[in-house]
Amino acid sequence: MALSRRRFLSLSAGTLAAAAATKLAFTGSALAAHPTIDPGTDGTVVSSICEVCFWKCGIEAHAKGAQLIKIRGNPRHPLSNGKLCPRGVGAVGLAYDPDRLVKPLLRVGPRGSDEFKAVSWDEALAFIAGKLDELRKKYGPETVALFNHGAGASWFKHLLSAYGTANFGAPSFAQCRGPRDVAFDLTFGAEPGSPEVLDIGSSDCLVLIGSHLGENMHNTQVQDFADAVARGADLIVVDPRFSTAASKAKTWLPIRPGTDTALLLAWIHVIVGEQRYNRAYVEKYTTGFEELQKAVVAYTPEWASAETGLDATMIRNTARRIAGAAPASLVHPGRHASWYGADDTHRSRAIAILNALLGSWGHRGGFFRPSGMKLAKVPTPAYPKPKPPADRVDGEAPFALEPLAQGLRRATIDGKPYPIKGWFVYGTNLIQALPQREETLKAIQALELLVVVDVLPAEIAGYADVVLPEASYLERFDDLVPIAWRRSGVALRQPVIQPPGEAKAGWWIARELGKRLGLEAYFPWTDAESYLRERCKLSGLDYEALARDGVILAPEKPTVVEDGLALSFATESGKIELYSEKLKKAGFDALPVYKRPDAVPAGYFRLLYGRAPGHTFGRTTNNRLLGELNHHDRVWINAKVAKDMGLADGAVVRLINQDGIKSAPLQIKATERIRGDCVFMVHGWGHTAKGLRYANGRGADDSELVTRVNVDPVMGGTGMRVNFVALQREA
Amino acid sequence: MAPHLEIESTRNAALAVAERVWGWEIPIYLFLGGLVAGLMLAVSTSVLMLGRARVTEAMRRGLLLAPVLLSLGMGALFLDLTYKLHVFRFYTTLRATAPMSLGSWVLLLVYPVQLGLVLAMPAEILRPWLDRVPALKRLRVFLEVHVRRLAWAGLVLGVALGVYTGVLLSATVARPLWSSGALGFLFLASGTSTGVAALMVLERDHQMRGIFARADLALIALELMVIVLWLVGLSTQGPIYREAAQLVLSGPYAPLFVGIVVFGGLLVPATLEALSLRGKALHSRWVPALVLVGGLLLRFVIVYAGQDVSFVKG
Amino acid sequence: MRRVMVIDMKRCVGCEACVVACKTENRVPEGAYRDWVVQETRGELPALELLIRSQRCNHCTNAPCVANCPTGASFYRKDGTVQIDRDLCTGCRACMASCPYDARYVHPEGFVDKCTLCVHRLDKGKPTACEEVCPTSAILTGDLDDPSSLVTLRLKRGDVSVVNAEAGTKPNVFYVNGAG
Repeated sequence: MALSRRRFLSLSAGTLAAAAATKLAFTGSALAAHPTIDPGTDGTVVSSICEVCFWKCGIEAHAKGAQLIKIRGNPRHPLSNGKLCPRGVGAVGLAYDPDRLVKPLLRVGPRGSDEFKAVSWDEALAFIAGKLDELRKKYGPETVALFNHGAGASWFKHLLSAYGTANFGAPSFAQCRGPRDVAFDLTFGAEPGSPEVLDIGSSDCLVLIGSHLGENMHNTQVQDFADAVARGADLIVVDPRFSTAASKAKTWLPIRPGTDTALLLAWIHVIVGEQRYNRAYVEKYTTGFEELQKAVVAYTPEWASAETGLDATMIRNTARRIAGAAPASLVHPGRHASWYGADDTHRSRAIAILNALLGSWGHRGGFFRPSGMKLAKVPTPAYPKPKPPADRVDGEAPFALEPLAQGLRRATIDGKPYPIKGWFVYGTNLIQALPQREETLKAIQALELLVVVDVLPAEIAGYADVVLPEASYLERFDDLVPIAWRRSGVALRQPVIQPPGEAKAGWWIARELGKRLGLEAYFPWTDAESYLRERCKLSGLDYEALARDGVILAPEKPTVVEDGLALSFATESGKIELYSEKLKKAGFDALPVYKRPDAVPAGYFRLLYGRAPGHTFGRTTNNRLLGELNHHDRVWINAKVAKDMGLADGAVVRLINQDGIKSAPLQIKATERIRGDCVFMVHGWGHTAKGLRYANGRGADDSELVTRVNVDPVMGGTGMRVNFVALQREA
Repeated sequence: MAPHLEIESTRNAALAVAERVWGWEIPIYLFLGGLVAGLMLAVSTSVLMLGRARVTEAMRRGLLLAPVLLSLGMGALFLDLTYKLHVFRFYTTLRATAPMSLGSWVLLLVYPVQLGLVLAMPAEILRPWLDRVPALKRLRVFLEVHVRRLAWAGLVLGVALGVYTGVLLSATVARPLWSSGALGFLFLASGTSTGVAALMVLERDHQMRGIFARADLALIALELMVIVLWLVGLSTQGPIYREAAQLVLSGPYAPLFVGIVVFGGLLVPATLEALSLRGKALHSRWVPALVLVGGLLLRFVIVYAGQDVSFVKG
Repeated sequence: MRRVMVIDMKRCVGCEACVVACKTENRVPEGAYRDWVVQETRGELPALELLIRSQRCNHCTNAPCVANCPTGASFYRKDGTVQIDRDLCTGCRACMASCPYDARYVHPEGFVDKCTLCVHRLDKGKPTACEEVCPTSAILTGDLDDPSSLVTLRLKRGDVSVVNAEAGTKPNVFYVNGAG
């Protein structure tokens, strides 16, 4: 059939029209501007202070109306410099954690049954006040102890000091930094500080011995560490595990666990014996050098090599490098120092002495001396004079600087020197924080009052008589936080959003209890903000500026000798005490001694524990936002050892310790990054509290495997790395 | 011995849960698309080489089936989209670098050509209905005259449809198993083979069946050659490509691939067809059925296995 | 203008602050990641090496995701970054199949999404969310077409690598100091 002209024309017209339309459509879509998407997460900025860990970085929290959107570092705060660690950023997940405590709870079942009924604040506070009155009459106010962690505890310390007790036990002392604080105090007359006063950014040589900086995500310290590494500073890492820090080191020493003191003594031996110490500094600032010189003769690198498993030449070589970089040569004091008990203080003393020989204390690249900031106190009546704390008996642990948490626990069980019948637990999950869980449970059952103040229902809350829901740090005022750093100052914690449910700030809880106990005089302010305004006024600070910027900086003062600092030491001699008369007088070794750790039983591995950068032990493991990061909740075991045991990477096992305690099932990380004689876990997983619905049942709890401790006789620290585990394959 | 390597990633857990980008919808579409392409190729070739008169009733029924199968395939594609409301966006632009764009337009053009072929060579069941409407009858007559032009269009579009499904995978660049120029040819050969097999199932004409059988035999031989080229090529391209090839040769997909796709879907039917051509065995509908199953599984294996090996771990 | 990112592997400690900062900046859905951290351990005790990389979409110059997108939803922005126009995306995921880095994810609303290099911030002279928060200052963005920019100067110092160079996509996220 021939195509008629009409048909042809109409067909052509149709085709042309279609083509034109298509071209328009194509051109249209090609020319259309692609929008730039703004997620709209900038909001009203409130400056405050983080509390996910103890570092207390300044933060800038963005809120849109009543909603918290995101958290960043405060650029004006010297501890953040505008940066923030993953936990601080991830705290949005804490604010909106569906498992938050939102109502006061009163126990209805037997203690430990985790059976509660929600009650009003009035009822809860009346109950507590009534019990406190009763306890005061029956046993005296010293029968009440406070276990605490975090800046918000200050209100409760104040309340209970006014009540009349001095039994304040922070697990962070005897279960953590205690040995090194005591050791440095004995040597230099000052502690390494919290945050540690380390000028790592300018170090020419940094020694990390048992510090896994990087996985230990302490903001400013990691900033400085990265600067040092980038500058090409010498980095020596001593660790049984190839940590993140070890991966950046010029030298990694995979030391046999428990033998660190031997290595330190050998280093001192080399540096003293080869005359490589900082002579001018030692002569000017130290005493006891001759005794030290005599004592370290025996600690040869060969001797240390046999103890540590490290090569003697390498021990010598590293000692020379450490000395060669002095005074900008820094042996990190560590943070968690309660390792093996018997020689923990001695090990920290060896670190202190080594630093003294290098002359790093008071010098750039070493330990700087912060000037701090003077703050006035809002006047309240003087506290009643309390009985001395009950944590120690018979002159034990004479050098402890704070009450021992496990000592208060013991006094609760055996009533010596006097009974402790009431516990306030603020911001610390004693079930996971204290070793030897059976003792903690025994003590809890001996109590007449257990009050838990917290943000989330961790295990300890399940044992309480009363659980008080606190507003998180994002939802409350707290007392001023002084900053003792290269640039000192003071920072403000103020609420960003409203707390959920009926949660209340700690200051309100403390004041309400104070009112009901007849202690109103100690709370002469209507609310925290008026207290803070008053305190700022008395201290000569502009509260408005503080609230706007989050921080007020103190005038710049020299923090190192290079900048004009005059060095002084708050020791008895006024000098750095290499040889400690104080220790000698108390019947201890005046110079550090090494105690060989127990051998690892056949078929077992030494249990080591530590941190992951995305978590602060058990307090963040329920955070679902942080839960999207790498959990790091596997147990590390040497790859070859795992292979010999027939375990593939990721295999599920249970850990059984020397006393037969079995952990929850968890996966193994078969890795070359750890020695064959130990295993490593991150502390904070393995929650069993049913209220922690995300964390419950994830990973395993290392702290329940710590059934044995070695107590440091000098200051009472509980050495916890003295437990051994075997692996049992989980079907 | 590979050097010791441990890899950890923030998103190990998330990747373990949501492993694949593409699921069952894609192999279903690739199979149906390939089959329809093959069908069109077979019929068009018959028209061009043997003439319109030799087009059998089975082939006409096949032509009728083609748009139905293609629509089912496109339905699967539509189900696969995660933002279905924007489906029209495929047709507001033409991206020459994107096989999926080219393919969408080919799919659009295929329908009128298939319609034309159906009207030009209607199946017996359809013809009386067509002739009842005068306009349709005129159209049928018109198209009959131009059937060779339609067949050429069918041939070109059939090749395009068959090849682009393979090129779609190989153009992704990111999946080692698919990183082979052979994939386009493999899918064309396989598609044509399944198209011919489909016709063989429908075909009653003994002679035509014989022609199909010979064609299918040649196509299977071609397919096997391309498979060899594909896998040998991968195995010599580098370690990650070798790892990908091992998935189908000795790894978890080997039983399906070697057992069912190669043996059951290619070697066995080819042998049976060869034997039946020599009179040593009876023609049976099971033989092309094996080819069809093999073709379907070939695409499942390639799409799934291809997503199991990536360049980057973690 | 050619916006690139330079990441210093020596500084990075793998803390994943970049991951959480991005999540909260860009409202990244649960279970999806615009950036993530990979840790690679090589060698045997005691000769070990640990490589840590913060990874994200590489905004490749030769991006197969852009080439393979049938609707033009994936496109090159004038600053060289690769972006997604949500209005054009059908969710066919050809781009996801084309990415050698698995950098993309399907948003719950149906479109495909990925790192945008925070151009909504870069355009205003602010750093990207990951760059701003990184405690070790390991992440840096800048204009590689500017001969005096920090990124240009840093790349000039050498020891530069990219992830999976064999894919041939010419990534614009560079890693320095990875040779250890």
